[in-house]
Amino acid sequence: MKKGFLFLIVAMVTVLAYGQTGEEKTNVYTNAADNMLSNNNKLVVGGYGEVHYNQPLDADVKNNGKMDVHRVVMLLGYNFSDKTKFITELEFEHVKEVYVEQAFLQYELSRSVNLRGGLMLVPMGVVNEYHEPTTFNGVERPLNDKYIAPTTWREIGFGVTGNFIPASLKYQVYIMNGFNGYDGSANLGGKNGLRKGRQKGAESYISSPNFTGKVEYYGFRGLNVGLSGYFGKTQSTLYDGTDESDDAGLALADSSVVGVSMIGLDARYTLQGFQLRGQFYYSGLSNTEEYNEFTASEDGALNDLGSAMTGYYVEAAYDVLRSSKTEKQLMPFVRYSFLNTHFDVEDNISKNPAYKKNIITTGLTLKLTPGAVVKADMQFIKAGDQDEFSKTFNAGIGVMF
Amino acid sequence: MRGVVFLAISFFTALVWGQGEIEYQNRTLKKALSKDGVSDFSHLSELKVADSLLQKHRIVGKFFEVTANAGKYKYIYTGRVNSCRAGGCSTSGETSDTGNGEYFDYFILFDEGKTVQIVKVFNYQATHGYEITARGWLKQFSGHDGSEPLQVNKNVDAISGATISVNAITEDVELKTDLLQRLKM
Repeated sequence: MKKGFLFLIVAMVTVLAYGQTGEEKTNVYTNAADNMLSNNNKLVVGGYGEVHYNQPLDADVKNNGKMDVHRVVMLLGYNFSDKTKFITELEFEHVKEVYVEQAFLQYELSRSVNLRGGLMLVPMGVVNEYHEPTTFNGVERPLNDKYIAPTTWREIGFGVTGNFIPASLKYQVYIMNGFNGYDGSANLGGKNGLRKGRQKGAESYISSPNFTGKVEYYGFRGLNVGLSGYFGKTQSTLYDGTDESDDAGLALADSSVVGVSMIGLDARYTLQGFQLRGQFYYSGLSNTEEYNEFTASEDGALNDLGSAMTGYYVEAAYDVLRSSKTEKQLMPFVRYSFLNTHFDVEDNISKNPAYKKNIITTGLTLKLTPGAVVKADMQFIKAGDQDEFSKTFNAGIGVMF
Repeated sequence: MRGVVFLAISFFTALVWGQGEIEYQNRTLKKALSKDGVSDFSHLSELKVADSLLQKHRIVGKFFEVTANAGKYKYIYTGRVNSCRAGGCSTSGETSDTGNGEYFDYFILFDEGKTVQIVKVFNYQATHGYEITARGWLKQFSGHDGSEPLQVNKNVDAISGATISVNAITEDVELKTDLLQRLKM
């Protein structure tokens, strides 16, 4: 399956490359993509990729560095008509893992009302939607967007999105399946928050619907502010096959579920070469006392999912090449982040200081062109139970086209 | 030669037709003009652009002169911008294609000295990059008279996630201002 996929991608890319230089190729595959392309350019192809080098630095201990083709992504879109389009994002992570990150059909009722259905990105925060390496500073995605709003967060659902241009407002509202909280074992916990509960459209199951939405305002010059929300209960396989009148069975299933109420506030501001960015998340999780007891390990140790998680960061960057003639941009940046998956816990467990993290990331982003960046940064992380900041040096390339 | 020009113009008309025509007498323009004392479109006369220029710059739009002696707006350019580079489209959250649904229609109001006064987008059809319609962002073009080039990230602020539209409109405003200044009256 994976090999077939890879072969198809390679074939399409090869065909497209030849298609554009106008050479005559007589192999079978030329025809399929050629037809698509000649159809008034209804096929849209794009992609992005990142290669990373992460090197922990420690005066006392030798550490191997890690080098990884973190991701290579192909974005394919097909415009069936002015109103109907299909968008899909195919990803290779760490060279061997294949994912479909988006696959949805969009139908335009009007400029301000577009219907969407399929596998879609959850509109929480900034990085989940705009996650191409050329759109954020730092080699790795912000840690808040790993532990609190687990990027790349995508699920299957349907909803509406649109733009009220006179009001400079964009909105998205979707109904989707939720996190896989329990499927025989617990997928949520204090260390990784909700991250391992992502179903990603891979034979997802739904036991109750989850709602998510975002509103963005871009009326002031250079400023984009967004307010996101995500509400619902996590899913559990225990509901499956349980009789509607089986109160005990339903109660059991209920104890394997937590309620999630997440809000996000983000702001991006560009002014005269300065780029400021801020992000705030707060997640309230209900029923975690019961969940932690229900998903306790065999030796009786309770699970440790927190009842509230929070995270925020503020970042500033400046293009030092702004006043020179070059198209290139060189942006030193600094970001301060804080995250805590144990911001609050129920009485049956205690807060784990290791889950509280202070992170400082500082480095350089060199944009050779808007689509190609070279990044380097130093990241200092101090967990609540550590005295010193651990240091990691990161470097990488990122492209988007 | 004339045949080629005819074909070129037909092609671009067809391109426009396929997408829906430009509404030259749109409400946004009417409001902007009436604030300046110009009550309706009868006071506008179209300026003829040489075929060679139309073809060379692939102009999808028209220039007008305000014949009323009203306020500060003397010239208008209304046109369409396809927000995708030929031969490939980037996707910073923006998927675009060459001519199907990714475009926007806008106008520029110039004063007597052919300096940009107002830029407004009245029909935004592309899927992303809508932030360029914000009035506050478009104010950056006011005062442009061609003496300095318009450069994104230099004297025009970029918008994260809207690279294509930002570049497309900046390029178009610069080009159309230059053209207006070269037009013989």
